[in-house]
Amino acid sequence: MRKELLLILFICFLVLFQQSFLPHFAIYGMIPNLVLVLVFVLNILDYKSGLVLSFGAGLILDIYSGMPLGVSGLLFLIMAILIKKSLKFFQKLNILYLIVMFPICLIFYNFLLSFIQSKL
Amino acid sequence: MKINKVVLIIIIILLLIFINKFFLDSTKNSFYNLTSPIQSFFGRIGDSSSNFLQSFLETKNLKKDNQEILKQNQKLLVDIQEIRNLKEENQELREVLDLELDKEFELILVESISRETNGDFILVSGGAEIGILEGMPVITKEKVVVGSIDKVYKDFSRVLLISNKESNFDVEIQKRDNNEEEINEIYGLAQGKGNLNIDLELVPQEKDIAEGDIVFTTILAGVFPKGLLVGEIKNLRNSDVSNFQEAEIEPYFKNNLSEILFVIKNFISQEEI
Repeated sequence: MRKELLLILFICFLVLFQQSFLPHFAIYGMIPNLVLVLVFVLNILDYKSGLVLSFGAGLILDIYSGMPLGVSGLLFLIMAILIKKSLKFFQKLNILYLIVMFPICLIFYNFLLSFIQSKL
Repeated sequence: MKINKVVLIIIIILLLIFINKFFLDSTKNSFYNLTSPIQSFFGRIGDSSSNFLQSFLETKNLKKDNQEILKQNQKLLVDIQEIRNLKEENQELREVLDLELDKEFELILVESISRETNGDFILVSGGAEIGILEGMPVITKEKVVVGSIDKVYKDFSRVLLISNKESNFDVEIQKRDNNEEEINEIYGLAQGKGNLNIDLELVPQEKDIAEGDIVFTTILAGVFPKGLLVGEIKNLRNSDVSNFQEAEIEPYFKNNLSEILFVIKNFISQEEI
């Protein structure tokens, strides 16, 4: 439980850092999504509270973006479930899996987020 | 056990719908209140670090830029003197014609807190409590237009930048002819392209525009007050097929996003009315 609380604090820090510090270093308007990276890492390591933390990270990110509360939360949750399911197909974690899976997650999240943004 | 999970998921979804429907603004406002000092701190550090990095990377061009600025400064001094003369002349004319002076902008000072990573929005301090309303234009102290208020919370406001894809407004292009006397006025449409980019569209082919021409807002569509600086033209694209010329606008607000900004209180976009 203590570990989870520390992770939530770390997620808060990442969100604030991402929204306030990183925009000053945007390249062609793009900023790395550190929260997405953390969600990916937590689930790839099959962290036991990965699903809940992914959803929580999305909620915190939603508060600091213009999206309705829960959009990123649900997207991160779906992403976490997909990662956990996909882990079963691989015997062990390898570099090929990371190379393939991370861009898929990135595209999945950004595509759906842009789609939802355009519909709002 | 499985039923419990389903019930929990349904409760969470209902809770989210409930918060989004009734408490979203107050929830966000509370979080912004709680974390705005940290966000401002990160913002200041980010700004100074990026400035340092930029100056470090541009050291080579510094001497050249300095000479260029000195030249521009001399030219501006001459221009200021001309403007002073014109102002005096204008004042006298106003007195003679007994015209009322235009209303000055009524401004509310706000501070830029953070920029959203998705879409061209910024969060500024000050919200409904100090009289900010949706649709009010946001400018810098140099009268450079930044955007308009998109969403108002109790103590904070979200600004839709003019580079946002949803933003479009009429603009006026001002260029000086070679004789430096006559001023041509050309109209077009500024369309936000996202990532702090703006395109200039719908400028008739017969109009003579060039890179470096200055773009101002107009009152035509009632989105912004007249005469606010937008930016300057770059990457002009002429096509034989189209009836219109297109170009990119280098927005001036790009470098002023982390500064003190002003909300124009006595002007609300016609789109909001």
